[in-house]
Order: sequence, then C-alpha cells, then structure tokens
Amino acid sequence: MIIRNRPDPRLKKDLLKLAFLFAALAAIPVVVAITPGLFLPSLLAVVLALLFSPLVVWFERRDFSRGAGIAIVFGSIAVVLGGAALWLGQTVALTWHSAYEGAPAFFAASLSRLTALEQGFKGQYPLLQSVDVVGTLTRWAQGTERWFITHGAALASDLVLGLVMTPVLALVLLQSGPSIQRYFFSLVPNRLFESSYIVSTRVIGAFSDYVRAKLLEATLVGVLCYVGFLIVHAPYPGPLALIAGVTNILPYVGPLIGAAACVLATALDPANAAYFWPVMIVYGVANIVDTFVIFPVVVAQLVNLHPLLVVVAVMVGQEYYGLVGMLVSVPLVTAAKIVIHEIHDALYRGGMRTIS
Amino acid sequence: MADLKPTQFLWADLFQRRKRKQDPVIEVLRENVLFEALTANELQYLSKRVYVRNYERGEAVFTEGERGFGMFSIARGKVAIKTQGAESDVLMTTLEKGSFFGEMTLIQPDAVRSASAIAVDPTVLVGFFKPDLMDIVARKPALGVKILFQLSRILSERLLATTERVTHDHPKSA
Repeated sequence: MIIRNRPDPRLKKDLLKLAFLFAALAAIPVVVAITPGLFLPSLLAVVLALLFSPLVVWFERRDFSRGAGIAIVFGSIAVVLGGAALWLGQTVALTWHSAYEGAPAFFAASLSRLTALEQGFKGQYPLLQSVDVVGTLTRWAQGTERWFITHGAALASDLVLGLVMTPVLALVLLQSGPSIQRYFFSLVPNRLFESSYIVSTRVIGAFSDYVRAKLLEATLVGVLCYVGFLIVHAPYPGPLALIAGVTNILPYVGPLIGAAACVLATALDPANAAYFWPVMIVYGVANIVDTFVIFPVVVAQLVNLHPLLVVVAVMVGQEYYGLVGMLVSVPLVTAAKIVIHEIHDALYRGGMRTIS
Repeated sequence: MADLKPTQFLWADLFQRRKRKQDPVIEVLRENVLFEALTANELQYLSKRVYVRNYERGEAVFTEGERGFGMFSIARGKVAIKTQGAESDVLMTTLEKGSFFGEMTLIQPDAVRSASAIAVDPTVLVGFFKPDLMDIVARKPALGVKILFQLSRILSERLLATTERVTHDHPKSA
C-alpha cells in the first residue's frame, strides 16, 4: 500500500505570514536602534504603563471609561510631580548658593580624610603600597567632569526628550496598547494564533508582575531605611533612603551601590562621621529583611527561577547591556521560561480532556 | 456581511468620527445566546475584545487533542466538528452562521479540545478567549458576571438534555 503524504497547501502562505509578522516586530528594535535617544524613554514608558495599568483598571471597575481613567491617573500624577518639582526647585534655590560655596571645601576635606585613611592602611599593611585608591578616584572624578562638560548639552537634550516622550509613550501604550497588540495578532497564522496568544498574555503578565513586585520591594526597602535613619538621627535621611530604595531595584549589586552612597555621606564628611556605623547598621538590617522576607514573599514567587539562573542572567545582562541589561535580564529569562514551558506542554503533554 | 475590521488604532479611535452604521462584530455577538443578556454598550465593549479570524475552505480552526483557550462564533460560513474514529474522522455535526463552539475552554483549566473544527466553506469566526474574559471580570465585573452566568446556564441546559437522553435510551428496569 502506498501512503502519500499530502503537502499542506496553506503552509507556504502561513510561512509568509510569519515572515511578515517577524518583519513587523523587528521594526520596533530597528526604530529604537536608529534613534538611541528613544531607547530609555521607551523602556521607562513600558514600565510606567505596566505600573499605572492597575490604577486605570480601578477606575474602569467604577464605570469610568478607559480614556477617563487614564486621564485621571496622568492628571493626578502630573499635579503631584509638579508640586514636588516646585518644592524641589525652591529647596535647591535656597541651598544652591551654600552648596556651591561649600562644595570645594567638602571635597577637599573628604579627599584629605580619604588620603589619611589610605596612608594609615598602607602603614599597617605594606602589601597595599601599590594600591592607589585616592589617585584612582581623583582620575575617575576628573574624567567624569570632562565627560559632563563635553556631553552636557547632549545629556540635557536627552533629558528633556525623555521627560517629554516618556509620559506621551506611556499614555499611548495605556490607551492603544490593546489595539496595537490586536494588530500584531491579526498577522499571526491561524494555526499558531491560540498558542501564541496565550503565551504572549502570560509573558506580558509575568513582566507586569515583576515590574510591580520590584517597585514594591524598592519602596518597602526605602521606607525601612527612612524609618531606620530617622531613629538613629542620621543626616539626609530622605535622600539616603531614596537612593537605598532605587538602587535596590538592581539585583545583587544594587545594595552595594546604595551602601556606597551611605559611605560617601557619612565616612567622608567629618561632621557626619559619627553616624557612619548607625547608618551602615540600618542599611544592613534593611537588606537582611529584604533578602529573607520581602524578596521571597513579593518577588521570588513571581519569578519562579532557580537562584543560580538569576545570577547568571544578571551577569550576562550586565556583560552585554550594562545597567539596563541587569534590569531586564530576569524578566527576559522568565519570559523565555514561559515560552519553553508552553512549547514543551504542546509537544509532550496532552492536558485534561474535556467535553466542549 | 460587511467587512469585519478587527483593529482600530489610536488615531482612528480619537480623531475619526464614529460611523453610525452597525458594527458587524456586534451583530454577530448579539446573535450569540451567550451574550443575549448584554446591553448595547456592553456589546460595544465586548466587540473590542474579540478577534476576527478568516479561514479558508478545509482549514482547521483547531485540532482534537491540542490545548484550547476560548470559543468561536460563526459570523459567516460553515464549520464541521469531527472526532477521530478508529479508522477515519467521524463527522459529529456541521455548524452554520449564528452557532458557537469551544465554550467549555473558557472555564476549564488546561482544557484540551475533544474534537476538531474544520472550515467547510470560506469562514469568518469571532474568537473570544479566556484571558479577555478574565480581563473583563477585572475591569467590568457586572459584564463578566453576566457572561459567566449565561455560560453556566447553557452548560446546565446541555447537561440536563444529556441526562434526559441517557435516561430515555437506558430506562431503569422494573
């Protein structure tokens, strides 16, 4: 008996549809690549859209339209940010003159204190004679100063572009995100539609949950640090707590960067040297609470990745894309895990049979 | 039937005057008994969350054994529902415009299609999927409850009909 395999007549057309879909999807990174100034605003816009989406849903549940909910959320945030910017501007204006006058003396005192510390360690440990911390820091500071002078204008324009484009893109994503998503799904061949739809829904859900969980974690760490700094009467409790919270978003190295800020604010300023150990203790306690309580409860369950995989993902992200790579590596690996899991289920698992 | 255009961009939504003529997707949804209790506004809201798919003659909508995540309403054409028999496919029924199928997957977790659905003619289907139903329950709880209630009613009616048929075919012995 001859068994003839009939070729699928729609396969060629479906492959063409897939090629067109990938070309359409590839247009997004191409646009971002040729306009690098849009990369960070686009990323921030996605984060903002994911962050504000539950607020819009809250308004929709109370019979507001989607557009009205988005307008209320953005309007409220604009008022709050405007007020904060006004307060900050007034505070900076009041303290700018004294900071400008006192900065050279502060840096000189910090440098001499650091030099004294370095000389002390070198006297105690001759092995450290070849280490030149102060020289390295001085050269780095001078290089950074030169970089800001040469790139200041471009940096300022990127900042303005980001401040304008980020909320606009976030608003477009919130309002038209579902429509854009539906357009891309209209390009998917029928035979792949359901599976690709469910995978993308789960990936977007995982991204959203991760972003909100990390921001909640950062907020909790920031609040813990702020309360702790207030208890020990540490200097600049607000800015230090803000730095501790924001840097906590970065996996593994974030706490170290936050601690560096605490060191700079206390150890290098003779007026605040007495607060060095209380601040470090507060910071240590906050990170222990974060590692053993906040992260397992808030983030780890959503990520559902082996800790070694998280470490590798962060290292690879940092190697190829620096700070941004560290931020996006974990959700990207989570998304890849969802896709692999779905493919595995489709190929190897039958699932529960039902009457439909 | 007029062309079913499933996508509207921001510009069309905000800057184009809304046409007075009836959206064909809403007409399809209105004919579906699952959505018969919905108001005009609710049908309008729902129409933006369904997916219009075009199938060629002989093209499979879904295959028996694969995972399913939603239901389909027939807007145009015919769909044959088949199961795999011992030697060949067995035709269970042919559904026409106004019918729907696959609704159980809206509520079953990890549901698997118990039959294959194949387009007999060039067919247009309106798909409604579980993630969208969950999103509606989150954003518009009243609308979500209506849909779930109707779904429960339909499933209980079918169960009752099946029970009566089984009882009729196998009466209790005296």
